[in-house]
Amino acid sequence: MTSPEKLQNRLESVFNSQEIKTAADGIPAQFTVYPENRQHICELVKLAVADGLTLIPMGSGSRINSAGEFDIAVSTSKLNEQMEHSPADMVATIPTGTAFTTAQSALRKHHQRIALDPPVNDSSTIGGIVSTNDWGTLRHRYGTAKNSILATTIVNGDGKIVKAGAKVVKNVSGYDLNKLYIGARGSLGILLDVTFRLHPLPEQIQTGIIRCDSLDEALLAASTCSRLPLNVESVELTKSSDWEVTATIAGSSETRKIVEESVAENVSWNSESGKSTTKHKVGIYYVKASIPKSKLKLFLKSVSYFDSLSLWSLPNVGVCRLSFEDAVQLTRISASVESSGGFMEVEQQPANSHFPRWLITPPGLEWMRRIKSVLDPHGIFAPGILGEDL
Amino acid sequence: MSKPSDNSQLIRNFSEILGSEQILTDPADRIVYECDGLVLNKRMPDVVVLPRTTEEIAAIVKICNQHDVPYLARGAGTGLSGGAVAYNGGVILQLSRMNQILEIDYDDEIAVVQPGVVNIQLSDLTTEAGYHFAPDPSSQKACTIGGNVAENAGGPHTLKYGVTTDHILGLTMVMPDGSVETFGGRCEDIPGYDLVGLMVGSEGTLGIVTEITARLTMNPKTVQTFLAVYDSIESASRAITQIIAAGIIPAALELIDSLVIEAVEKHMKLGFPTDAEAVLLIEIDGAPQQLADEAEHIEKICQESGVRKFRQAQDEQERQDLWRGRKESVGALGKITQAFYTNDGVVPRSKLPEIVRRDIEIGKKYGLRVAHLCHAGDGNIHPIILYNPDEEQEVKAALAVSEEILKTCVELGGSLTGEHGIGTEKRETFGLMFTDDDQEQMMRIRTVFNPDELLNPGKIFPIGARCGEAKINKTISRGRWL
Repeated sequence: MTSPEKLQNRLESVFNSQEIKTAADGIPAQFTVYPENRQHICELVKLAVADGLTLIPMGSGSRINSAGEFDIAVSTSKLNEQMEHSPADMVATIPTGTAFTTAQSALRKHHQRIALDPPVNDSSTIGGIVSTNDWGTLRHRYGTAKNSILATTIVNGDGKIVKAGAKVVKNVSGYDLNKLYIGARGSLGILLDVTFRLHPLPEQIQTGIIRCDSLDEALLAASTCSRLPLNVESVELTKSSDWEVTATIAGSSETRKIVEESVAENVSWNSESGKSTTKHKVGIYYVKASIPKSKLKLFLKSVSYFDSLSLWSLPNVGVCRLSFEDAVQLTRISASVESSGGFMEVEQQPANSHFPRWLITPPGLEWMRRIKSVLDPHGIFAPGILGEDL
Repeated sequence: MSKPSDNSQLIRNFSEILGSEQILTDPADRIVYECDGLVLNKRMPDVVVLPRTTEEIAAIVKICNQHDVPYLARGAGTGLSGGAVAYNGGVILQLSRMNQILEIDYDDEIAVVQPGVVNIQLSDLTTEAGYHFAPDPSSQKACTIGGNVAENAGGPHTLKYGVTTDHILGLTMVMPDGSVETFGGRCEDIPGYDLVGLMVGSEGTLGIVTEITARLTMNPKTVQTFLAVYDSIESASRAITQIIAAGIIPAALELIDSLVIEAVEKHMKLGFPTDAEAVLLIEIDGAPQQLADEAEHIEKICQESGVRKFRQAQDEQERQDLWRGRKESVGALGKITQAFYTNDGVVPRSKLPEIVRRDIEIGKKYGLRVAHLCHAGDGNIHPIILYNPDEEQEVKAALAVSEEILKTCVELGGSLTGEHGIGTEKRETFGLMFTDDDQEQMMRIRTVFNPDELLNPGKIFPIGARCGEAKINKTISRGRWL
């Protein structure tokens, strides 16, 4: 690793002093650079190539969650760029440093939205969400960023600006490199902007919470909700002390009666979107798991007896978030996921814990390594951030 | 592949792993494979093999590598961009015998199929259980799911349900080094780079798909289909823009113009109004209450945009007839023209009125009629240029019209192709959309998987003057499927 003094001198040869800061706590780098334009990012990449430096792209830094250490964190949050929104096309190209809530507020004025609702705070950026392919309740109906992103622009491993996709809702021109960049955690380049397919904002939302006595009952309620002749935005299943199913439906209060007649008589209603993604308590370990839907019940049953486990799932998708305190539980959960034919990622763990991000090796790992080696030929982009040499 | 002796050894090697009925060498057999939907640029493969298993494909690929022979996989050959043609000679792996639906799992809501399964067969088999395979290209009665994966196929209902890439969870593939790999799986999230997402739409240039894990989609609970009749194609296209801008996402939103209506009525007599300049075929599905609101809103927009008549299909038979008119309309064009050249471009949806107007102007400039059949809700246009193939001037004019239309699509912020792929047809126009640096980034990916470019060579990327002015490939698509 380059000494801080030498690194600072090198950075000052490219950037003005306002663009360079000592990295804040939690950012795994010596310095954070806030380039004010795209050309500065290209120059920084070229500098990294020349000096053998490592870069970790970031927005606000809230989602980095890396045990690795890098030379420079590159924030896109100070790029002086504006969102391009075409309401009539229901498409928006958004600079990645834009705060997610800011983008959604702007879109809301046109009754549109990005159909993603991952857990966010006010500083969470578009780039951070896309780079981690994070998701929330709306995944039930709209999928993830992979289903919404139409085009991307990145700075690649040669310090060149390259684009993929097109700013239209249908396109099959060339390889879909967008898919590689989404969820790559910045390991293939620095995302500059992302073009989203937008969706209409529902005029009214009804959110009903159904308390259940058992997992079986909860899964049946969730399944019934998913199949209702309504515009079901999401169906969540949670367990802290009890099992709960939260159904979010786009429509008027008349839809409540249909749920009550078809699913359960006792439903607690409100008119806000489901917020279960932020409801689970913050655990020391934070894990995402994906399970074949037919095995979900068995998996949930196997982990539901764990102490102090907070569990949140989209049963119709077969994905879960789990938070817990005990490292032993992580090993047991991993075994249960693997025996179900699923996969998982460790999103967060205590500072003194050193589990790899992936406890179950994904298929195609060697091809992923080869992709990394050609798109990041100098190994400058967050080496190892995904684990397994990626 | 120019030396007969080389062929002989190659065929002997194939004979060691395949039965004689799985190897086609007679020109009378091979001529079937000289083109796909792109008919003017033909090249017969030197050998056609018909494997039945993943293992046979892996062995064939290794033999091709040993002989340094180009090869490619082919499904039904319904593609329109020349993607399944052996322009460099070599071997075609015809996958039609790999046509088994291996598994349907309604608990996981997936099907595992071989690549030669015809698209509609999967929906036919699952419809009683309340499911279907969502991508529905108009060739769905013939095209294969393997081909859908290669081209990232669309169709009318992808407006709401997404294209093929949104419905594929896992792939088993034979890689160009002859290895067999599995990407993705039966669950939604696989850690790491999305290799399945990369493979879908890569036009058969990164590997050969031998098994597909496809997502099954629940059939809609309620469907309503409408026909909106217009005296002006611009008014019709303006209505489309306004429907989308109003935040309504129909299941399908198709535009059919007067030339196509004329052909359909001459061919099928389904009751489309022959005096209309355009009709919109609009389908909405979902919750009944929502449908009532949407239908009312759509009708209001259509009225405000000058619709002459707006009617709902009264029963399933009428609905099926309307869709038959749409899906079989291209085949009907033979009733009004000797030949036609189908384009596939995309524009931002707000530019639909402009591109339709400019298409017609471009056609008039060259003295040709341009018919329109569009997945209009997606901004995906299919201008169909009518011409006489026996008149050299008309052939040249058709090519010129095509070139101008594609350039106009890109100028308006759109794309060269929404669902047909680049193939060879549009590879020389690739530079209209992507800079050399953009292309280099993609070609690095091809180098990872297909370093010798023996697998499906000459597709997608321009050959020769990559940095120069882009040129249209001088071929004409038969344009059967849209």
